[in-house]
Amino acid sequence: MTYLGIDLGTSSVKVVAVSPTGTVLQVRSVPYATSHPESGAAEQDPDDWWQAVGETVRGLETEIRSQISVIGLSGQMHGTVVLSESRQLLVPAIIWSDVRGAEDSMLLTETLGKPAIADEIGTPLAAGFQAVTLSWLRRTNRATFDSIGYVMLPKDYLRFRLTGELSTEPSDAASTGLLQVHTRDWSDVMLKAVGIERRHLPRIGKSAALSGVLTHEAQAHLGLSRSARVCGGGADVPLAAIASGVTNLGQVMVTLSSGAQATAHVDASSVDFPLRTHTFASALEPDHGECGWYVMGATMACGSALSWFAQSVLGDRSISGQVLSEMASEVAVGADGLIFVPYLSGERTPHMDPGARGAFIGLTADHDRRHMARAIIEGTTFALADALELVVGLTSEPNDIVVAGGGAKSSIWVQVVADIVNRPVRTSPVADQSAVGAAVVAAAADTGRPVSEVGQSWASFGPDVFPHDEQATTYQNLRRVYQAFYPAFASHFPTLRS
Amino acid sequence: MSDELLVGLDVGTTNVKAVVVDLTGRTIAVASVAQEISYPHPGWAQHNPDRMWELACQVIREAATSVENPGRIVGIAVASMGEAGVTLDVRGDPTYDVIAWFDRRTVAQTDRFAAAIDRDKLFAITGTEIQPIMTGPKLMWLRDEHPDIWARTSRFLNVSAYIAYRLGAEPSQEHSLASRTGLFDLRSRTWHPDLMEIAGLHTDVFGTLSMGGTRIGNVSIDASRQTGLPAGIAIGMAGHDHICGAFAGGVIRKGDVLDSIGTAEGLMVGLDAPVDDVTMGGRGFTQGAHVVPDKYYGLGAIYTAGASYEWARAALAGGKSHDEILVGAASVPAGSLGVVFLPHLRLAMFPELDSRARGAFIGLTTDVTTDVLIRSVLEGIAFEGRAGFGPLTQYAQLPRLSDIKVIGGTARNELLIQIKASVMNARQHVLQVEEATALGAAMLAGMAAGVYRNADDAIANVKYETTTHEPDSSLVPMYDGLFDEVYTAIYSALKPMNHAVFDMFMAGTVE
Repeated sequence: MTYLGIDLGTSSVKVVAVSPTGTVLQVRSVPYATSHPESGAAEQDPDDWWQAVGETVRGLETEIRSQISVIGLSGQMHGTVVLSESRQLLVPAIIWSDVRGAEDSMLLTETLGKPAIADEIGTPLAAGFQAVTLSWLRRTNRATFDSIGYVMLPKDYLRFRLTGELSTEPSDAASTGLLQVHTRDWSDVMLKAVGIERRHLPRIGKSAALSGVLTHEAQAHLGLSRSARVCGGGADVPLAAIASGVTNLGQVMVTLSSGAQATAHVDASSVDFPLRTHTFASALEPDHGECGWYVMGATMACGSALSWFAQSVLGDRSISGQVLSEMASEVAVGADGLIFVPYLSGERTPHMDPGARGAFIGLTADHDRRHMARAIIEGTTFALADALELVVGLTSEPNDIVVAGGGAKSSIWVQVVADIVNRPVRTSPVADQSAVGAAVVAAAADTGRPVSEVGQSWASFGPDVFPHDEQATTYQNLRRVYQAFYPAFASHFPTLRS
Repeated sequence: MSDELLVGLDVGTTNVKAVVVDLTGRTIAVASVAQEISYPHPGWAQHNPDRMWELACQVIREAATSVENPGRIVGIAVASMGEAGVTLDVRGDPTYDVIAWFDRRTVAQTDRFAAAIDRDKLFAITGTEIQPIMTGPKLMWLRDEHPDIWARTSRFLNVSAYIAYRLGAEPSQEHSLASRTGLFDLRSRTWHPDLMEIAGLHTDVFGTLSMGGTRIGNVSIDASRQTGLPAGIAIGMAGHDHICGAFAGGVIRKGDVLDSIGTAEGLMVGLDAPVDDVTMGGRGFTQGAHVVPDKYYGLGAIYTAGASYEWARAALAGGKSHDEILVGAASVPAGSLGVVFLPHLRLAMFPELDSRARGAFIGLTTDVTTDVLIRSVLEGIAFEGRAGFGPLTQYAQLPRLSDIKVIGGTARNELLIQIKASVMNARQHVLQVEEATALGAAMLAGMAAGVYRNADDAIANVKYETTTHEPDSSLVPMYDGLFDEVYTAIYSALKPMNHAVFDMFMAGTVE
């Protein structure tokens, strides 16, 4: 018996086949394109997803394919697929990175008010969220909006193609901005604001419940010799945490990827009323005593700041993260007082200011590119620490911090995280976390075990990395300086932009 | 015109240069070698004095022996960096390395000195604030930290005077360099007894004082062998490099305005008498005795002007030529996509003297490339110049600047000078004088040798071309906005942050 996790990501679909004990048997991936037909647009063709999924699964070893019993789905969050009453695609999928709805996002937020939004959906709205995309569609393309028969998230479209069923589960539903955060059901307030009715939306099932079986056509498309069941699955972010065993109160996952995220599960729907963090329903099941929500703080720049430095400043995109880490390791903790403020693309948590700008401060003639590389690692981690602090404020003091994402491969970066948060951390070596998380949910659906239990039992970790007292003190002092920057300069950013 | 020749030596932070000129100031020969600096600790920098003399001999010899009939050379004078010198024992041998002018080890001594005298009173006497770079605190540091060395030290000579001494001159101090000790009374032109007492120094350590252009000795037979100069020719007193350069540019009296831009940048106005308004000192300006007898100057210094560009070139654009880098920077729209660079890479002088200041790039986005950063560095240097010239011209009681003379190695960076013209909204007249500092020294040598009657006669004889850069009026409003709304706000916004960082990382390096 084998579980299949399918992660419908932003740039590719990733499939993992996992044994009942959590051994990854095979991983395959096939990319697809994002089109930008106009400024700010980010669209994908759902048929491309379907073809890519078929190609990926068919490419698994025959032996593995013949063993598949339950399929779990993971997906890129927030996006929008609209079908007609006759279940035909009306327009291409509008994915999370589409920013054409920026104005609609502000309008919705102003109309409803921040505290009401916080209490209703637990998260700030942003362009690309399904709720915002629907508002944008209604404003700019009323004919299409009025023809909507069904609206769904990307991975739930995949479920529709696999099983013919129209359903979702709470974790992805939460990412639309249409889910009532406390009840984990559709929000009548938001539906009314957006102009959508319940009949347009999929039924909300449990993540670890079976949602249907493969149609004959789908079975052939995937190259499976027998049918398989499909369970609810979840959004890619909570599934990644689950695959890293981060399911309980007190555990935090810190992800160092293009941006950085701090993610922690919580047993009640606590929200941040200033809307600096996101509180979303999770793929875990509060009815079974699990944490039913997760809180996330996300920063804009992490690995992306290092990539910018390599490519745009040093002028060599081939400089790897490893080389930059080695450069950084040649200078002392604190980069001799050089501080990088990483708001290159504005900032999300904690400032929620898309117009914020970055900086190098504390610069002297004794600094060189090695100091800059180190300052970028440290500065992006200061930003992450700000996000982590807000997340912890809504959840629980952390007793287990798991570092994941590409940055977890850099031992210096992991040490910087430990020193800045001044707690021991451990790394998650799980690759393809969201796809593995989907397989975790599939296994839970199959066996009836709680998702958190399966996630914990499959997860493995690197050794604990401890903070060094002296380094922690240095960072504590430097972080105060870092934190003074934004309030001092926020009023100057508009002048710099003009 | 006679065929006599003069030698000007410029002992700088980056290079040691010797120039042989004829009496019109035309360069006949030039030789240059890189200055040597060691960095024994973070924040420390020093030069070996014997090695410095060897480098001086090397370039003098190279320049002097390359001219036809070196016997025509009638005089030499030495200009040097401002706040650096050599301690000597009774036999005239160095007792310690030359502490580089920008070295920051003397913060404790400076604080002690500053605590002992009212800031305004000090400025009224010396025309300066007490700063860690000044020679007074450097001597206090040596006495505090190395009493054994201090006990063997009987004389201190600025670098200019030390090299002159090695050439055969009497040990003597010049007024423009004396003005950089923190101990010199500008109006009476003597060492101030109260200040000497605060520093715990005796006037014996400085010896006699002489004005620029005075003949202080003749090249010795020994020095003649080492340098290739004719023995017995006049050694003229020269002084502070920036001020020698100003003399070469004809900037000696009220109304003369000079931007001397190199590693550091000197913003200078000529003065007929010292400014009496002591608030000048609190705003980062100094005044001092000119190398030209009886004249004064008002000065604002940017410690890292050309140095900021050189830093950016090495740190961000390593491996590229100047031309490539400047073509790239020129392709970036004026305003550098909203990136503003603050060039306080060692310390700040405007809007106030701040030895704990640090530099910054503000306004970074993912659109920013090396070209953008380099352009922002050039614009930052120009903004800093504007931040200095504004108040300086007010103190000198001059009208709004419309014309500025520009000299120095960095004046060759045409993109920078063009940017400065638009940022300042003032014409920049680049004097095509190849080595202004060395030329100024040579002119002082000519006064000492008697080939010029006086400073005005020297200026009247010396000729060179001028290239003028006009402001781009389409850019002036944009630069005005960036300067008024952002640039001038950055320093004070960053000040508490920079002080915190300085105290964390630099305090431990001050023994």
